[in-house]
Amino acid sequence: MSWLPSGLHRVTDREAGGTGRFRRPVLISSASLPVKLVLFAAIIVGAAAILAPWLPLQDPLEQDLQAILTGPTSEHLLGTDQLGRDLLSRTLWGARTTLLAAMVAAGVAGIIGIPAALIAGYRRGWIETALNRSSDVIMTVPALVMLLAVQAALQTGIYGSMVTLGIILAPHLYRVIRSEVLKISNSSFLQSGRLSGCSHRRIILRYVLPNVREQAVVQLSFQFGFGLMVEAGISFLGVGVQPPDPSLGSLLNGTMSLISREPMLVFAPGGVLVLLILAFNLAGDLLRTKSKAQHGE
Amino acid sequence: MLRARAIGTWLLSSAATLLLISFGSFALLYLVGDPATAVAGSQATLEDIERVRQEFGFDRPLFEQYLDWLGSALTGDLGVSYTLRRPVIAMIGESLPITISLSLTALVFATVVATAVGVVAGLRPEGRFDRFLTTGAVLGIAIPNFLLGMVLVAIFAVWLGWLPATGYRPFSAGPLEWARFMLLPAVTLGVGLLAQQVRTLRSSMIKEMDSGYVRTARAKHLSEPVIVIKHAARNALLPIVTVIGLQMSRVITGAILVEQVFAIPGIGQLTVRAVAGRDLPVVQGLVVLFAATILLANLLVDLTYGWLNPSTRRAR
Repeated sequence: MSWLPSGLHRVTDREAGGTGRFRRPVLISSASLPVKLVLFAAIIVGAAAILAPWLPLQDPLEQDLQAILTGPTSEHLLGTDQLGRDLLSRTLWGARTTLLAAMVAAGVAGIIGIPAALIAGYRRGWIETALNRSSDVIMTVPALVMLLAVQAALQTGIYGSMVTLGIILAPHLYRVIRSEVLKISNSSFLQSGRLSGCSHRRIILRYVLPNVREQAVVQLSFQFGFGLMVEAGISFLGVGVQPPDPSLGSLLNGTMSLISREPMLVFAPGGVLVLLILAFNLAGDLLRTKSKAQHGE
Repeated sequence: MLRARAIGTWLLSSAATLLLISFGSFALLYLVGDPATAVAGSQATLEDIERVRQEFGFDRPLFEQYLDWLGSALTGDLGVSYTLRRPVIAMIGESLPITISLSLTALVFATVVATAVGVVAGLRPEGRFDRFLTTGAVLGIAIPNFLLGMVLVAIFAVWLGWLPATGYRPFSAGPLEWARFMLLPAVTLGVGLLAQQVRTLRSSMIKEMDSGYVRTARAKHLSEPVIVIKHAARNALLPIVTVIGLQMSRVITGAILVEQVFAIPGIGQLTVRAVAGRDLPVVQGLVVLFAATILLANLLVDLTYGWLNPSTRRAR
């Protein structure tokens, strides 16, 4: 039916963006070898971190004052820290905390930002103005500063901070998704959806949402990477995850004076942190390139 | 005329935004975070806290307290620190120049290097230099600056011993001495900014080199350096202005972390100490200061952009 001018035939949901099975095109194969290696390594490390409680690791909090700063040995593969705790175990447990924290931040940002963008872009009017204005205000204060202010007031733990970070990141997601919604707001398939009597709910969920989904995934991927960086930052400053609990940031806190004696204390958590951030940024870039190529931009 | 009106609009909307932010953070700090417990300290009994609450007027309605704060803030009085019992404005005044010198040095370093390498990379997209640079930029964005700072200290201060590891010397102690201490922190803060700028510059340079006026210039047999420097690069530099403006928030965030790594007594250290000690008036003053900085940066970007690119000036 493609010879008919669009709008003359009843547009099916599939044509409006597809609610069918999520199609996964060959995404990875388009990446260059170094990118593939980074993604592969990040998946391995990430999986090991998430599965840390079930892996045969040593207790990340157990101190062995007989064996401090040993360097890599057969018993401690990455060596031990200044209190004789196993560095491999602490790095993986720390990566787990950091990943979960970033997941909370990206999740909250998505739960707030995407619906707000869909509603603002679709309904327009005062609600859009109000949301635009409030996102402008939130974006005026740097994320770290706002997090620190909330920390000063509430003294929440790391997950409280990450919920806050989600709220702070939501406007960024909102802006991008809203402009995507605006791009299609005059398209014929939306009009025909309206003409055929679909409810607003159905139009938003089945016609608009599938068209912004790719962008949303791209943005969430970047925000996940940013979440990792912020968690590490505030825990490094000593206001996030509190010692002795490990996170990639708190592990780096206080290791500066030990860097010459035991460089592994910086390079193990630091390397994992960079690897994970890199992976989420690269995944976001790949998805974006793919989505641009599909839409012929 | 036009510019005066733009500044007028900016003043109004910025004032509104600042009011909202200052009230929001005031409410957060003084309503949700209990200031009486912060002042009284962790050893205080319930009676102590109650006494402090009445003495400092924390039992008054929030809006009244806010108007008090706003009234003094407008005359340049941001209150007194709880922990050091000193005026907040004086504490900010002492550390602000240090942070400004760090941020400006980092920004200048980033922009100068980005301009040079970004333009060259954009001349031969997918060439060897371009690939090297693109990879470097991806890495530069992914490395948290506090981590980069630690690695740089390890290499240049601990192993090679060329530069001091931490600390700060004011410019008045001699430019050389200042530079020796400033080099590592500024590079640390600058690398992330540099990476972002290079990405933008490279792609805008590719776009400009592909445009009609470059083809015309080539048809006129202008020499390649003239085409690149006088024509393409000048236009390709425009988006950098926007990027620098957007980077202000990154500069502030970065400075907080970098100052911590290098033990530089600037605004960042003040912020971290105030948050750790729950010094609410200092935190409140800093939030407003940072927001005002971002708003000012936005104005400067708009003005510079209009000045550099007359076609974006709005017709009357």
